Amino acid sequence: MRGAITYLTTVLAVSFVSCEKVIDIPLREADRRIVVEMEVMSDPGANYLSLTKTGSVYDVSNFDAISGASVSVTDQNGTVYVLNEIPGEPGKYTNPLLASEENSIYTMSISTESELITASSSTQSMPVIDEIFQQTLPNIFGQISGSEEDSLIIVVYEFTDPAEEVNYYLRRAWLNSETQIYRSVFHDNLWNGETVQGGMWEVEVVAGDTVHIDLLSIDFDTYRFYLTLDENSTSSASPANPESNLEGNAIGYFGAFLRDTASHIITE
Amino acid sequence: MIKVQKIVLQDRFRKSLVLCLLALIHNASFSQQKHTISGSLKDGTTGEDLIGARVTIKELPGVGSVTNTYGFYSLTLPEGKYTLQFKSLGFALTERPVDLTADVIVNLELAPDRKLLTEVLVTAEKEDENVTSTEMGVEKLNVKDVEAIPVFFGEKDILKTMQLLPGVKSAGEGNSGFFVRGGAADQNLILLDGAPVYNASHLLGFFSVFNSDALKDVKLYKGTAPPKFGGRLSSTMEVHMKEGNQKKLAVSGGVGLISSRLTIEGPIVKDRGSFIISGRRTYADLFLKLSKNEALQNSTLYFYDFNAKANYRLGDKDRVFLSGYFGRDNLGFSDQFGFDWGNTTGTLRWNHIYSDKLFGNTSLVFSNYNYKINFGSNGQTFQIGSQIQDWNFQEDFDFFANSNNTLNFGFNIIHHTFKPGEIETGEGIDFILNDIENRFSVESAAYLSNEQKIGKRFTMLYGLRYENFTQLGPSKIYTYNEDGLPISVKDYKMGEVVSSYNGLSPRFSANYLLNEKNSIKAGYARTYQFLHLLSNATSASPTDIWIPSSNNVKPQICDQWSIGYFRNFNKNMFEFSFETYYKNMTNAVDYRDGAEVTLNPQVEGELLFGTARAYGAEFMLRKQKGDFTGWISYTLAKTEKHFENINDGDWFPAKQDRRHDLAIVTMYKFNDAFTASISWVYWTGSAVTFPSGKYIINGQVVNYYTERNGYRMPPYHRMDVGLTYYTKEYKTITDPETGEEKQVAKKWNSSWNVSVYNAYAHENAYQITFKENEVTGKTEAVQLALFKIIPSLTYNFSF
Repeated sequence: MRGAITYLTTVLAVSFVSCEKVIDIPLREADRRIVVEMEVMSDPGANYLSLTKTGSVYDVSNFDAISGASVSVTDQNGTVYVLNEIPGEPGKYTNPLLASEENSIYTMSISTESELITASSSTQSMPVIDEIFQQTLPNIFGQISGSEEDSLIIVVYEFTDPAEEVNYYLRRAWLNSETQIYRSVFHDNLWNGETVQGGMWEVEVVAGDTVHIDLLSIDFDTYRFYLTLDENSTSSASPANPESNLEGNAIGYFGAFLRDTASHIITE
Repeated sequence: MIKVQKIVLQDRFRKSLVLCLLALIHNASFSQQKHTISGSLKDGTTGEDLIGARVTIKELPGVGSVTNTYGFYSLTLPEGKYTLQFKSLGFALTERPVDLTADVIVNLELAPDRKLLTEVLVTAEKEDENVTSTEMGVEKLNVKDVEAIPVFFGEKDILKTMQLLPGVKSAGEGNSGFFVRGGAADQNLILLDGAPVYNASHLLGFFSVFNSDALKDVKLYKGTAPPKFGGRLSSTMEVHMKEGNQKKLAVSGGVGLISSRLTIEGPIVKDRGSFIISGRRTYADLFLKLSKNEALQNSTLYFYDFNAKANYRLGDKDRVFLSGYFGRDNLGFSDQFGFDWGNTTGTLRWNHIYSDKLFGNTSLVFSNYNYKINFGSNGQTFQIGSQIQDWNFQEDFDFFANSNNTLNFGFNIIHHTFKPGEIETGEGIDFILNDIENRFSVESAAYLSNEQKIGKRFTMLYGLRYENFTQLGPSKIYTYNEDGLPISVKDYKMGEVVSSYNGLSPRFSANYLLNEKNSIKAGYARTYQFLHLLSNATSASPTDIWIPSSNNVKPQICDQWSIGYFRNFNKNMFEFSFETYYKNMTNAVDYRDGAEVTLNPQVEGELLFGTARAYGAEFMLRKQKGDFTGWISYTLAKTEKHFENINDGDWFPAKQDRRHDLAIVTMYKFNDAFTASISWVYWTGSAVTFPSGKYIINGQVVNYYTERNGYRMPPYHRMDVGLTYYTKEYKTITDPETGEEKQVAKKWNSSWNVSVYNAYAHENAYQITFKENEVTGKTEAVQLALFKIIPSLTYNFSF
């Protein structure tokens, strides 16, 4: 919503007579850094590590994958799960048995290029999607998705937030199992303990489309990572690197999530 | 022996005593017994009070008084015969002989200087005030000065013209606010007849909130402000509304391409009271109707504002004023989304002349700034609102002790209410959102200052201001740990003290006249700021929120030292000034990375505190007489910040840091009919953070940053040109009695103004983002510029 306000005020301000052009701005190149994107899910085998390197700003966005790293995750009982590189997908590592549980702590360690990277992440209670349905509502944010219709079909999901915890959520959604609809990250400060309905406005759907969502319960560190990731644009108040929970010479995050999924097929 | 001495001594003592007594009596009867001349000065044509007019004595050069904000002056002199001289810019020098044997009141109306009326002048109140006044670090503009200067869309705008003066930097198009001597946009206190205006711009910064037709003058203190003012670190801008023509009903206005305005003023009772009402409305959204996009066709984009004032003289010693401002901006998108915001201010004042030397003003002030965002329609609605509201009681006295000392003292108490987020949901929305806690505080101050003249060359202004800021309940108050996470919450009851801060601000400025053409000035000031504006974007926007100092947020403090040299040439035809300053600020505010500022009840946890410093040199050369007038202003400045958790604890440039700022403004009067103006501005870019690399997360390309504000936006430059055609003010008629031809003033006067904004269509960067080119897959720096060339046409009239 905050994004919508900024977007709309800028759109109106520049609705006519403005112009865009590509300009040349010389940038000082930073050293290449190791990038860690690592998640453990409550579904066995759905965990992964994507290990890549940063690239130069003006190059094509083809990021080098890092192969041959030693990767492992340890649960709070001391069980060690080793993640192996997936053949044919350099830089991607996984373990078929590893699954996160409620109220646990997980630590990870990556050893590569003479660097040791570690992190830990904790889980609370499993999120439960009570219902997923569609609603036809006036097109308030239509301009974001590009729709010019008077009303839109919006997919709405409902869940109940546990009152005794401070909860953080990440919602991802896919349209027809391909396009990831813009994700949303939020926490319960305005509606702790209540039943919440979230609407997804980001994309225009038509009858026959399938919308699939993941509702993830995440920890505070991952929440801060995704929140600061949203402020990454150069036009934000304080553009900065997203907050990382990694120890060692790397950027990115490690998150242990609990997931509930649901999908809905759009009808007329 | 001793006895004799004693007698002699006693004798001597007695003799001295008698001599003393005689001397006293002698003094009592022949002395230079002093009397006071006091009164009010007004404009002879309209009855408007003359602010800053000079009252001098022909026989005593260097002795004089200046009228205060209400046109009141007072001068205490020894008995004698004098010739009083009254002078104000644009008015003829008037002389009055006075035989001073008792206190006397001299009220005068000055006649406008015929010759000067038709000249285009850009100067301070009097020609040599630049050199002689103690005021340093002050910029003054009279509304008459800005008429010919073209600004955005052909509107004359006193606030925008102020940004062409040294030390005052424009925030650029699409950005509201301005920066004074390296300070942030929230460090300027803007007072309209004493009422603070929290958001001084319309339509995201394109227009200022002030309709210049309703204003008399504007004074900006950027250096040492007198102790009467406080509350913001970088500047105080005093905007005075006109009182209204006391002699006759007058109407003036203008019709332009995107906005129109109308002002009606006149007497309530001739020469006793008057009123003025001024209104303005834009209709920029009419152009949106031409858009092919249906959503844009149903959109709204307009603002209106309304100034009203009335004043009445109750007797010889009392005068009452009531003034108000109401302005509203409206942004609506395809009737599903609406966003409106605006200021409301009201001031009730009572002037009382307690004695010939003591003038007092009592004010009751109200100010409110709020915004509302509406989503949805047909019952399924959702509204977020935010506001800040002040009630202020103020008492100010001017005591003209003698011709060398003028004291000012007073106090004020402000009650602030902050409502950061009020949420209302319509029936169609199922979930409930809680309001954000309101905050309350009381800001009070007392001050005393003296302006003292020592000899013929040295003048000093010194004083002290004491301030207190107390935050009160009812409120839920949080405390936070180092990482900004809340660790405790406490409910405070109504009136319970949450936190209290005291501050003592000394102010000092001195002026030494080397000779009547040259002077040097020096000053020191300490200021406190208890309110802080939090912004979620690179530039100020209407959704920014004000928060008070609290248990978590300390008041910001600034110490400023400044020195200047002033010189006039060629009989005051040229005015030159040079000022240099150094500011040191503590408890400066900045944000954590990725701070969540909107609708966050725990927003204080998102803030970081550190120090800042700013220093620079300002140059100004003005030509104030002749057909060709104008000025060149240049500022060289630096402003940087130091925060432990930002930029690895190294000093980094503030966003508003701009090394060079140049403005050249020229006006040429061809004849009584045509006046042209060209202005050119150039400034080097503000500091900005650009990436030094990129990487991929979750399929999204992410910027990788190293230092904060390590790069610069491209330089901004733009030229504006304007041409004004004035229809004749006089017509020739034949006197029916004598048969002679004579000149009579026309009832209906008008002028046409054609102007071009950004005449050579330079694309000035509003925003630079790094995006992937869909075709080549490479990242590119894309610049968004808001305007190219904008012509405009305005018709102005008055009768």
